[in-house]
Amino acid sequence: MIEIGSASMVFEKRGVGKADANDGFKALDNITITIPDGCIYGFLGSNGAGKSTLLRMLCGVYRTEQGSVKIDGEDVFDNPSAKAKIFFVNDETVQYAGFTLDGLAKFYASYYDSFSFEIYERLVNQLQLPRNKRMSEFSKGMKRQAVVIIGLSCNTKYLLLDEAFDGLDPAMRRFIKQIIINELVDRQATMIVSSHNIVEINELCDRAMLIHQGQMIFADEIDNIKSGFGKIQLARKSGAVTSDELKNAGLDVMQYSVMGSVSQAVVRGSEEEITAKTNAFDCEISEFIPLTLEEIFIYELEARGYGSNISYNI
Amino acid sequence: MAQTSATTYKISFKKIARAALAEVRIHKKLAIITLVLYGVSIILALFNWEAYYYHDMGYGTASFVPSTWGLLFACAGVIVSYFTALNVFRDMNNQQLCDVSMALPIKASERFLSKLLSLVYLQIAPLIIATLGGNGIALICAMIKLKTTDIPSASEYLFSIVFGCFAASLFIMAIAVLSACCCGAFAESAYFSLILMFIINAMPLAYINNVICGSAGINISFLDTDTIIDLGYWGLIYVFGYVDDLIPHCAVNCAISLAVMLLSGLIYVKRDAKTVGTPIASRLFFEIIMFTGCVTVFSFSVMSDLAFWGLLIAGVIYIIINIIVSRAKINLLSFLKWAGKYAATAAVFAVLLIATIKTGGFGLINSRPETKYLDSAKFSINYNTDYYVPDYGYQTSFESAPLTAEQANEVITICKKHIIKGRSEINVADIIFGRHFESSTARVRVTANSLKRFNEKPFSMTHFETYRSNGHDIVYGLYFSQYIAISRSDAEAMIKELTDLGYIHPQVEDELYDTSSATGSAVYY
Repeated sequence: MIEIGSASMVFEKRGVGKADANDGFKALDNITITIPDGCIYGFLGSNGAGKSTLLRMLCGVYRTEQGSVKIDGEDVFDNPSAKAKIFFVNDETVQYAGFTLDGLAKFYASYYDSFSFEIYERLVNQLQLPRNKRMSEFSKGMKRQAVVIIGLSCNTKYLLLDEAFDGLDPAMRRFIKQIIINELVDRQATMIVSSHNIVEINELCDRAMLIHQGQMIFADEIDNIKSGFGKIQLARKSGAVTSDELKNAGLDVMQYSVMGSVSQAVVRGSEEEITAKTNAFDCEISEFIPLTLEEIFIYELEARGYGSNISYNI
Repeated sequence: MAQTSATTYKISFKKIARAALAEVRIHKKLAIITLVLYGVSIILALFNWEAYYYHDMGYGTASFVPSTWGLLFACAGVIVSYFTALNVFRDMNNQQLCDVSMALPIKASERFLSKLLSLVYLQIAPLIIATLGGNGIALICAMIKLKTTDIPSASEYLFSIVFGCFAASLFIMAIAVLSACCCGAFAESAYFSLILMFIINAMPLAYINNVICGSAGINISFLDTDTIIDLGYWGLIYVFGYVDDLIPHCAVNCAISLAVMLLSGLIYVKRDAKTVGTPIASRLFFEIIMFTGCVTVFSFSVMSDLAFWGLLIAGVIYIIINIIVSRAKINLLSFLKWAGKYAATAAVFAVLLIATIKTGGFGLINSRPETKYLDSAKFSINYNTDYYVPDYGYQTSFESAPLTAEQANEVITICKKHIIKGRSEINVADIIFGRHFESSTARVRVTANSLKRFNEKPFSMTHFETYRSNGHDIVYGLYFSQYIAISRSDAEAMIKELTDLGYIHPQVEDELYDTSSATGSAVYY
């Protein structure tokens, strides 16, 4: 189990050490989540939200100066026994350019006692990647496949993937995801994946967290997240239901629009709770529409002003 | 609550060795390049070296120099260690490599030690392999050929090359590792390493030879700086055989390099990825380099008419480095801050400089040679003027007859009295800006040579004595030289007093050609 307790991270302004530290920015602000064993956890967030920072903190690349990050009860920074349970794949592959696939396997086998050449051989044969060709000659997708193979071969309890499926074509994306799921399910491992692709997170993960400007917006099981939001459409002959009426009825309105006598709102809450409250408006038509994870993402961030100044022409 | 790491962890040497080998596999090409360069260098040193014969004042000396091309290859091998160290510690200034490196299940201290061990495999092992291989070839050749030639054994000089390369390589790697650990960007680690290497080699030389010796009028050539810890000339000095105690020198300098590496380790283990990408991760490191860099430039330029230019050039470099390092927005306040810091640096140096001048090079002006073992010596004193003196031109020269030790002692006492008094009468600002070479002053040169030499070292080596090799014997003697600008009146008073006492007389033309020397060389293949 991974526990992140009140973790914060401030980056200093780039320059000469702490002299220019006055206007640093807070990459993470008081994040608290628990990631249970055996789940697939998705980190969702806007660009620069802090997903990669959080992943780096989880694998001990960043020291946690405020709060704590514990892997199975142990602090992770500079702690080999905790780190031996984690494999981190970051969002770039340029660092592996000088390796061959076999060379990379040997490199990680030197560090991870749990490295399994049996898994490695099996996955390389499955994906048919060249073993002795420099990775600089690989396509972006091939590099991604190679790193995922190495990550799975390290046989760690936790696999952390930062935008790991970028660069893969849809067929390979699906294939790789299937391989990962099969491997992880077999050994009851936990995967944490960050992505902008909400459909992917929806398909792959059983839990997710939404982070924006370093602050956690929600973290829960995906079904619970989805059931916590809804879109309502209300039509009333006597006039459209106003936003104030909705708010006065105790609804947590994230977005509101009106067209004639039909009002539409995105609200937080379960279907039962919302329906019970909207029934009081005596509307001719009252409809509850569940939201997709993508819609929740967009509405939550719009409610915080993200992307609201961008106009769409669809 | 700040995060703490596990406290009961024991460093695993097996893990360090494995990690080092993993690192070697990444950079193995550098090791191969180093092996080729050292291999060629040692082969050339064994089979293509040069012997120079000097005939100086009747004392024949032979100096054997390893092949110049061989030395160039050795230098190239040493330079590879700079790139190797920067590459091995690339994770300190590349976010992607840092992600890989810091996420690995190994403690930061183990990771650091594994990187040091990998440097041994990548740079030191090729040197050892090349040495053993070269000697093996030489041994085979010796069995076949050497009995028929009179070329002296080259092993002593090979030893110099190997130890010189070893010491130089360790020094370069230590500086590169320190810079990589203190900088968060590759460019800064690369150019700050070079700046730091220059400072370490040049600053003591410039400050001691120019400022301290300039204040005392006593010249210390780098051949005479025979101290055990010579931070400058790391390596090359051994190769050319300028140092007596090769092994202690190498040992001490290598120990210092290792200490620098371990100091870097303290910085390495404290760092996380937050400072990766930041040009300078250690502010202290940056400030030390900026200060010592300015001191180096100042030391080269002060006490001459270049003082102002030195101040200007150092200031421009200071501002440019700050502009490069400051990736953030620059505004007028930034410039004012840098200008203020530069002014403070110059002020600190000025205080140090004034103290050096006022104390006559921290008392070096009072130093005098040991004359108790001396039988006889001969003095030569001259001073430059900017006006024409009939019969002598612009240079007024005086010679002594052979003097006894007591007489030599008295001459030195008289010279010292006038030199110290004359020096105190010159304005400090004039000395700093090199205006003390103007008409109000005279440049006085006092030199003394013993007329008899010793085969045993009769007194501790100081800058007043020199030694020459006569075959395999070391011959010591008195050599005293003081060259200093003093007030003209004191120069004239000194000459008058010594002339009145009968110690010196104006130099006659024949004496000008009294000490001739000849140099010859031979090259063996």
